[in-house]
Amino acid sequence: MTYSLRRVLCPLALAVLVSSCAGPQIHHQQLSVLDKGLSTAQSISRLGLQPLSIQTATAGGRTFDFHRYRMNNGVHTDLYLLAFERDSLLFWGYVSEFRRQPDNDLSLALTTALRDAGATAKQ
Amino acid sequence: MRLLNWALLVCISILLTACAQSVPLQRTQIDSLNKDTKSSEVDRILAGATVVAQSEFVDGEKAFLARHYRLVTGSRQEMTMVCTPNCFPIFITVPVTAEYVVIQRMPLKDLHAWGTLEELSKDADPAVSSLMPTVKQRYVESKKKP
Repeated sequence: MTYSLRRVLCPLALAVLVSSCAGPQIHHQQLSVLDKGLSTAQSISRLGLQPLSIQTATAGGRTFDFHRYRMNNGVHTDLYLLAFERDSLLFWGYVSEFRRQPDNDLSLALTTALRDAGATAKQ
Repeated sequence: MRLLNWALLVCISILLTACAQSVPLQRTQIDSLNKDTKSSEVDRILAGATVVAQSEFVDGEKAFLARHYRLVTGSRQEMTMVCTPNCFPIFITVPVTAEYVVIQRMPLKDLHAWGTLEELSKDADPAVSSLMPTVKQRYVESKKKP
């Protein structure tokens, strides 16, 4: 392979590799389409993107489904979650936002979901 | 070629002037808002910032006024290369903004809620979050109007 060809192909390969590692992402300007009470199907349709994974967790006798996304903030991506209770969108945000919101059951369930997700990733 | 460069400079100037006509909200302005801030004080605090859209609507038996702004959340630098005939870069700092809304209860214009569309959509108070589908729908409709 000639040097000049390598100079073109290497950055291209790197770009493809980086973009494939990043996976599907949502952006901040998409968030205004979300409303409380949306079903899972409506949320996915409005975001135009399937979640990377779904975790179910229980706390205080309530069951929550957490849809995991990656939020692109322009520099890097962070974990971003949508929480559903009985197929109704209850809350969405970064983990820190879940910690600040007043529903304690939701916060506890998120802790369980994150722990389970961590355990699954290690297996 | 020189004429082309001057034309480019004029275009940049026109673009910058156009940007300056729409004045975004600053964090320091909204820091002064409280639940009990009187309507005249709200108007004074927000004065100077451009209302990009506004709508009145009724939810249940209550009437509301929603005023939309752009809130400055950061800035980014854009670079343009100008050659006359030597090339030099021109850096322009462009504000990054988010859609921001102030909702007041009519007819007294009591302050009901304020925040980005996202913040208010997931607000813990149902009296705020339940308004947001209507607020956003009206906002989209107002943007479609010529």
